[in-house]
Amino acid sequence: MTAWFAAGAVLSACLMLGMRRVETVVRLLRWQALCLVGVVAATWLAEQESLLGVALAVALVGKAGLIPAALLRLIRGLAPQPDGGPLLAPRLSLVAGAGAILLAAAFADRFPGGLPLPSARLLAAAITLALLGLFLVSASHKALIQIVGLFVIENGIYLAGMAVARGLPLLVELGVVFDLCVAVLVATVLLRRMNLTLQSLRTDRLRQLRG
Amino acid sequence: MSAHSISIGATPLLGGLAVWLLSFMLGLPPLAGLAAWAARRRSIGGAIHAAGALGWGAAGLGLAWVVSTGGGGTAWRGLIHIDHLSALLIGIVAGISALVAFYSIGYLKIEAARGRVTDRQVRYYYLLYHALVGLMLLVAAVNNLGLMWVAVEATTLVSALLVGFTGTPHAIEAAWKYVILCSVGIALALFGTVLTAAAGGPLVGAHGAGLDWTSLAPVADRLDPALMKVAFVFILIGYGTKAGFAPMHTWLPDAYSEAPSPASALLAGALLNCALYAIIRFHALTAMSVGAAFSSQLLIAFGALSIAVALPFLLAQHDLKRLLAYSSVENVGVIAIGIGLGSPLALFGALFHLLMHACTKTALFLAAGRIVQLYGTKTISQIRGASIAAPASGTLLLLGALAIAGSPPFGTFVGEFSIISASFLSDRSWLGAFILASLVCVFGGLLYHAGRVCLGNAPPLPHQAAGPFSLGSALIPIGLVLGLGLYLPPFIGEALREAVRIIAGGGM
Repeated sequence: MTAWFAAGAVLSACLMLGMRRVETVVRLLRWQALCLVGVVAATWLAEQESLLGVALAVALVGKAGLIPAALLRLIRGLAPQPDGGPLLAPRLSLVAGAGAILLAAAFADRFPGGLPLPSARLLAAAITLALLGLFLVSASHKALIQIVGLFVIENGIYLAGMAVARGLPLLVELGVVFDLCVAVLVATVLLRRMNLTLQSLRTDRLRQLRG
Repeated sequence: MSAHSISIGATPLLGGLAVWLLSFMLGLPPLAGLAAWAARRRSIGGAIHAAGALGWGAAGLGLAWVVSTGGGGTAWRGLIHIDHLSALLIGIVAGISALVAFYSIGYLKIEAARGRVTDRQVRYYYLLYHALVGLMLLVAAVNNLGLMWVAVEATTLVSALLVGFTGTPHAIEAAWKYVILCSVGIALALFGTVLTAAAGGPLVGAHGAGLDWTSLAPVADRLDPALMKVAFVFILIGYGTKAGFAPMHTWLPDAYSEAPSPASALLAGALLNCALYAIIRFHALTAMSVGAAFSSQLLIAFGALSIAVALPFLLAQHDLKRLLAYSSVENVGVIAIGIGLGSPLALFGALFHLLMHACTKTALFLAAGRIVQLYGTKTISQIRGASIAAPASGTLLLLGALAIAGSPPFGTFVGEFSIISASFLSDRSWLGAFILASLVCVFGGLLYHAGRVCLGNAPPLPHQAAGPFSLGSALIPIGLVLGLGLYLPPFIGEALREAVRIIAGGGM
């Protein structure tokens, strides 16, 4: 069951690579978060641990609810960005996507101490998400995509936590989600300012500081 | 008299006074920040800001003293754990942040008088300031390594707003680079934390305690070595990004340069050490699990690389604050090498240098801040005759440059000399020679640039510097560096030695 949800999360990340509009990418982020919630829910149902239920609620409200909503609100508040074709270079994205999946599978296999198959699958999905998030951050010139990439990396690590450590302590999970909400706030402040002063959210315009 | 002992499964509780101080230290920052932000006028906000800084500053220093002399322990049902290593960080953060808080008032008064910040922005600065300090103190005090991560990431987010405070295109660029680079880095550190939880889980048992230092340290020698190795690599790269290790340091010169000078002082003097602290904690765990060689070699490698990368940028630098930033990267490299060498002498040198560097760099940023405000520019070639136009700041800059370059009788000499000696003693003469050669270059470069700024004839200056309050904030740390270089009070020496024992052997 968890494998299906994990696969859904990976699919959403791969789809992000091919999108043309930032808004669609953020909607995919919401899908991804819901898939993660699905993983937690399936684990909760299987193991009946009450703390997981709380973690589930937190993930649902924070990752799948507040964060995508705040990002969409930010996008709508900014000047409409012209459609400049695919957000990321298509061929590079193809290589990155395939490479991420292969690398993740290789690492998950070699996990020190070995893992039971369901956990290994989850870990592979987690590493894929993290690598794809890293690709989004480094390959895109749009600040909004970079912040989405950051959240994808965090989703990957969240999933990794589920895979190898049955999730982190509840207080830590709460703290991480809280941090991510603060990150959206900070990104909103900075991006609004960036839009105001530079009239652009392209980070290739941010090359003034050198040396 | 030390109240703690290296024992398995029984960490003492913090004494009553310590718990009171802890509560003030952690409780005051959010209250003071919110109150200062909500104040009607800038002057009232400033008064609340100063009172708050005095409060948590005294509480933090007091707590550091109590723990250093009387031993550490846990509090708040195991949520908090303070030992000599935490006490070192708490002392640095509380002291430095309080001094810079007082400096900020005068600095912002001038900026407001010139119309560069509004009253509302000043109160917003106070809010961010106290939030940042509260989070940094939390990093030092918290027991759970996962919560430590939460606090470190939160400091990145809050300090990013301080970096972008002035709102200029350069500041926004610096703030964005900072947020993205450091958050990606810290995400890697989270993965390392997750792997540590995976290693600790089977040994510690209870779901919540899997990342508690007090649970992990006693069983560290039984943690899965392969897992801890992978975990440490991610931790080092992750927290190392925040600490300024090369090649992940690229955000640092931009952020330190574009932030308002008191914020730069806070970043360089306090926040940097929080990242180093996190690395040191994990290094201690990994060394107990895997043996010291693995993490030590990585630390030495990153340290040497940081020094090598920082050097050319330091020598050929045009911006006064970027100069200080690259100096931070170089010093972080020296500290990392000291931690990596691992002998008691090297560890002592590293921790002592951590303290000395924090004080010196703070004094330098504050002095440079006054000069930059006076001259209206950060470009070194445009600043001349600072020792005439602003005698106190100019002299402080020169003294600070001497100190940060490691010359005796400053305390920075003691730390760096210990590390160099330790590398020669441990058959790594090439490392000692490398550090020595780099320090000679740094000495030349820094004094050259400081000389350009301070000597010569001062051009007519349009602006006014801030009042004596600001000067005291810079004088105290440099005085401390000089004082501790000449005489090390026994209690500080003993406290540092206890902290060394924690890193070397996992004592609690």
